Amino acid sequence: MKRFYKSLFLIIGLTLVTSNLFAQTSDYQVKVNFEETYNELKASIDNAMTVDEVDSLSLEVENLEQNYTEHKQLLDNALYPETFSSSIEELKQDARNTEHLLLVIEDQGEKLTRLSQELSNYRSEIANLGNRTDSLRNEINSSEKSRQDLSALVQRYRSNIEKRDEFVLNMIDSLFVTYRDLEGASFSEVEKEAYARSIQSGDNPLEVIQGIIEENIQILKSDDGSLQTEDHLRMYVVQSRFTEVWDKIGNELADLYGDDKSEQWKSNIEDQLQDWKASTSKNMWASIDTHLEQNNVDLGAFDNNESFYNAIESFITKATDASRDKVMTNENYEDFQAFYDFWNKKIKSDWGEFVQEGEVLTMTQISTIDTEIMTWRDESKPRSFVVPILLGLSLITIVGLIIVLARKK
Amino acid sequence: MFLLASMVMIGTACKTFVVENVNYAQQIESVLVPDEDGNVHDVRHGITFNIQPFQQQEFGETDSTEIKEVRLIRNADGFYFITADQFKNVYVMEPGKGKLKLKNKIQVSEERLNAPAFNLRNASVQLIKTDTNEILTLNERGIQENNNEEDQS
Repeated sequence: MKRFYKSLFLIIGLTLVTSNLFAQTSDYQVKVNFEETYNELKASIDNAMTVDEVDSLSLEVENLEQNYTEHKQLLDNALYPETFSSSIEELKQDARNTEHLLLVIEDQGEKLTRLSQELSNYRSEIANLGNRTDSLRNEINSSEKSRQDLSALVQRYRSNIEKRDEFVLNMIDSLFVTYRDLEGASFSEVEKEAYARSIQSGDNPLEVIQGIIEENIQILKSDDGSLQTEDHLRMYVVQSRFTEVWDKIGNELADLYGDDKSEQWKSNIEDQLQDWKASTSKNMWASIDTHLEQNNVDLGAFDNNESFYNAIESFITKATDASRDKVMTNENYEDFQAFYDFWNKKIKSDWGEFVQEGEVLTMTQISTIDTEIMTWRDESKPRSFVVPILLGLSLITIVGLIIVLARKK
Repeated sequence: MFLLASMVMIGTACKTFVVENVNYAQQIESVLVPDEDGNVHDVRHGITFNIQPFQQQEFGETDSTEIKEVRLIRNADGFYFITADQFKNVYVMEPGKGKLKLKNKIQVSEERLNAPAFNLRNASVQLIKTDTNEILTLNERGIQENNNEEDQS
């Protein structure tokens, strides 16, 4: 509204100046009036906040051109090294540039408003799921129900967390897609102001992100064993994806929504992401280790991708060597079978999606281990002695027949 | 002897080298604000001078009337026309070596001028009395006749 009045005053001022021109006969005054109007129009164009405002100012530029055309020669001299035409063209170009910028901002503003609404929906959905998860965990903790009922509760708890993770992933993908479109745009103060208007109180993406990280850390820290390895793997993937997106768009988000505390926001969120990563990683590797122990596979210690891969490789190499030394037993083959089940049913099948997405093992590592497992299988398979015995017996029979036939002769 | 003759010839040639039909006219007046010492600088047209002599001419030695702006324009013949608010005269000054020499002091008003301005029309200097819309056409000799015709060209 303030800007509207400013524009209105400018128009009235222009009209008065124009009508005064006929009474005013000083060339110098004509030049001063032109320069004053020019500067006011230029400032108004540079500070315009809407496309409509720029359109109205463009009309004023045309009026200015019409009103001063009769003084063109005078102004060409007075404005040297500029000319009347170059000054007017500069104003028109300014108006075109500002209009283009505002159209881009309006388009981006619409995207951000949509995102803000999406964020709001995600936020309430995640909060609902969080509340349900909390109450289920409390119910599990204080439960005196039967084993079967408890198992059903745990199942619902895990299912809720899975849904929650799905929402978090969708939200972070939406954030990424929106801000990727804005990538490369250098945000002016005008743009930041426009974007800041597009978020409603409480829907600040930085607050939403911070809230989600806090809740995830809380879930991990309060886990009493209800969550299984696939839950931890999925949470590890969510955390990795979250960090990856933050690394790409975190600076822009903090600049846009952090006001004068963007650095502080950035630093706080990065600290929280580190904390989240440490908790997720620790829980996931511990959970895989527990699962292996329960299935009588002892890989030794591991707590990251590299040490996990090395532990598997070392385990297979040792087992393969042992199989070569003990050809006559089935024991090695049973060890092989236990590991083979773990590898194929869990790592490559049940957990395969998360193992690859979270880069728990890379495709190259999986492929190398596959080859080594085949060698181990060949070495550990119990060999059958029936064929050699039959061959020996056949040989003895043939020799015996030959001897008998020779004596008859 | 030959060398001396050559030098005399070259010297004579230099003295007689003249470019005719030079137009010194300034298309638009300069409005100059004096600094604390009374100096004004016209950066565009390249002239600097002190206004205190004009002040003394116009108001006398003892009067301390402050000159806020000086208006200056040059005609086609190269004379400077100088006046200011509260002046009664236009000073026609002829440029010399490091000086401006009074060519004519044209009284343009019985009363002190209020917001005067110079325009250049058809190579002549016009003094505009903006408060009365009166126009005086001036040259270095004084006020020209038919000076009330307003020239809008």
